[in-house]
Amino acid sequence: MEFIWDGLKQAVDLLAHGDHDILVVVETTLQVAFWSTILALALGLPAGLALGLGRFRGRRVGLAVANSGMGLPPVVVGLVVALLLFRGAPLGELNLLYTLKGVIVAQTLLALPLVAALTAAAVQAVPTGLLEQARAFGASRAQVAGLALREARVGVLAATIAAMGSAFAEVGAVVLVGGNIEGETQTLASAVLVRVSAGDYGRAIALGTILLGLIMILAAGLTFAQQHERRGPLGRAS
Amino acid sequence: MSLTERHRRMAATAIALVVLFGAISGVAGAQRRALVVQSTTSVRDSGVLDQLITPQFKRRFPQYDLKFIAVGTGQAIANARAGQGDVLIGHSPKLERQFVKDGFSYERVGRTVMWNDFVIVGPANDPAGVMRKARTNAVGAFEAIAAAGAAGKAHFVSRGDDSGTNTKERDIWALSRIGRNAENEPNGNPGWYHKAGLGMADTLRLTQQCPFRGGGCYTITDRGTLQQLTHRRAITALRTVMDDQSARARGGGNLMLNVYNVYAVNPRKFRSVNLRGALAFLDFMTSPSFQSALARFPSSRRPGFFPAATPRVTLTRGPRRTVAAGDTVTVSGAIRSAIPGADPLTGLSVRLARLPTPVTPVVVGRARVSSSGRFTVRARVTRTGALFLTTPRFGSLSPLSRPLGRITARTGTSARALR
Repeated sequence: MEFIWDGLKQAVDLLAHGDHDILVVVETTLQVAFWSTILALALGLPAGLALGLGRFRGRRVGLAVANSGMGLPPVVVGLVVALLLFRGAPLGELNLLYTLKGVIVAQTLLALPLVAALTAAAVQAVPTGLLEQARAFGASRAQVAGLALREARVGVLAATIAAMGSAFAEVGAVVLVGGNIEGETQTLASAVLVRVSAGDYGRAIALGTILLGLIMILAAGLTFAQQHERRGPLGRAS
Repeated sequence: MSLTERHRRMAATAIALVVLFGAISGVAGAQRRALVVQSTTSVRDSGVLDQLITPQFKRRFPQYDLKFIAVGTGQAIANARAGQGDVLIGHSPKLERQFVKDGFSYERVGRTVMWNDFVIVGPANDPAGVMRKARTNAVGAFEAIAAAGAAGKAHFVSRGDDSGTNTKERDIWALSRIGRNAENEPNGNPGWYHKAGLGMADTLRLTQQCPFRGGGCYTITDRGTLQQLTHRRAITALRTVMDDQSARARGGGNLMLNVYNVYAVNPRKFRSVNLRGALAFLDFMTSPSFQSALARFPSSRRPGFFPAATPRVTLTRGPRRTVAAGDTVTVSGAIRSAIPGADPLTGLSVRLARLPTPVTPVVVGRARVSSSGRFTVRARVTRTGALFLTTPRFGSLSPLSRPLGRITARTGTSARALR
């Protein structure tokens, strides 16, 4: 019990004094979350649209792959990415192992199936009649896709939140690919692991508190945007 | 555009800007050459990395981007063998010897940096009676724990992860009378022997918790990690039941020594190795300033590690301050490792060198250390200069550089020497 109280006090102290080490870890965490979410969206939205709306052979198989990808074990992804990035390995020339970019790549791979599968599910829930109508009026493929995305925006934002949340929570892949280097590839979640390992429960709880706070702030921001979207246009339309 | 929408857009832009700024500020400035150090976890868990190595090394070598990967010694060696590192820090001499033998080390012998010792910890009531039967006998202690385990009164928690500590543990089982398998673990998968697969700190916590039926748990740990966790009050219910291994006990007095060595990975194996950076790191770890900081960390009364880079020299005969040019100067004494009880440095080359300028020492005499650790170097001195003793880099320890003071060779007699 004492540890928890001490940890909370330490968290407040660290934040109040703008502890430089903590700020660096927070910055690293935000970078990983931001870039991996952006990349996962850039790749996952088109994939999700194709899987949800497209009519091509292997669509169901693709969907099944995306769905099972949501349960991708992070340590396995971390292991495979790390081994591919070893010096002398196929992708060793990229010099990504033990770098922030490498961590972002691994995290993008983990977030990608989340975005693709959730987007596919969301656009499939859009009434088909609406999209048929748009097609009948001569809308291009891109226009139909845009319409489906707009109609499915609540689900798409949920996919975004899921991608971002997985980045904040990720430890296994981050440690294997990034090496958990303080000031470079150490995120809040992996820093907690190190502090616990060193028996420094106070700082571990402090870091955990900050991590929880960050997740709550960003998820709340996106949720408000999501729910606002939901009410806004309808309200004006009436 | 409605007011609410404008607000929403402003908020979204603000969030995006804040995050983007963070992203850009971190990505810039990654131009320095990377130096990857594969290390055992205890260097990090003991606080030595954060508080000594990182700040000092970054200040002295800002051109290198230090990437310190803390994993078990087994994994560190595997990573280094896969070319994934420039420097290796280990504490498992047996695994490291193979690493050197297979040509992965740039130097023929690793450089010893520091040492502490392994101890055996267990519950305060000591159900296996280790303190009574084998207070200073590691092998005896293991046998007592195994006997109590078979009787359902005790358990042993093993790291089970090929780390330096795990290797040492299996070395001790190998010396015992307990039946063993090919891995030198107690044979037949006994119910009292548990392989945790965890780091040292987590293994200690598991040992303290001891979630097994009947009796208390024992484990072997390095003293540095134990002290750090006890200091942080993460470990409160364990006590040291065996330490200070007796010289007469099985395995000898050195059995429980825990020695940390550093190696530069051989660029012949992997062309991408940052050799200059690796050697700079090795020089740094064995430098007097780092070594003296180590002796005071975390406090000089209870350091987690003891410095061991330079051999200790006791002079029985030093040079005179003033000699006639051409005269022979004799320096003799004893040289031994800084690690107590370590083998004598038999055959180590000792050189007497003169320093006309700080960068170009001139070797004036050489000798080899005898089997009792003694040496005598003789040299003719023809010029004035500061003399010092050195051991070359490929000795079994880091190079020694011990100044002997400035020796003046009289000019009046140097004319005679020239004649």
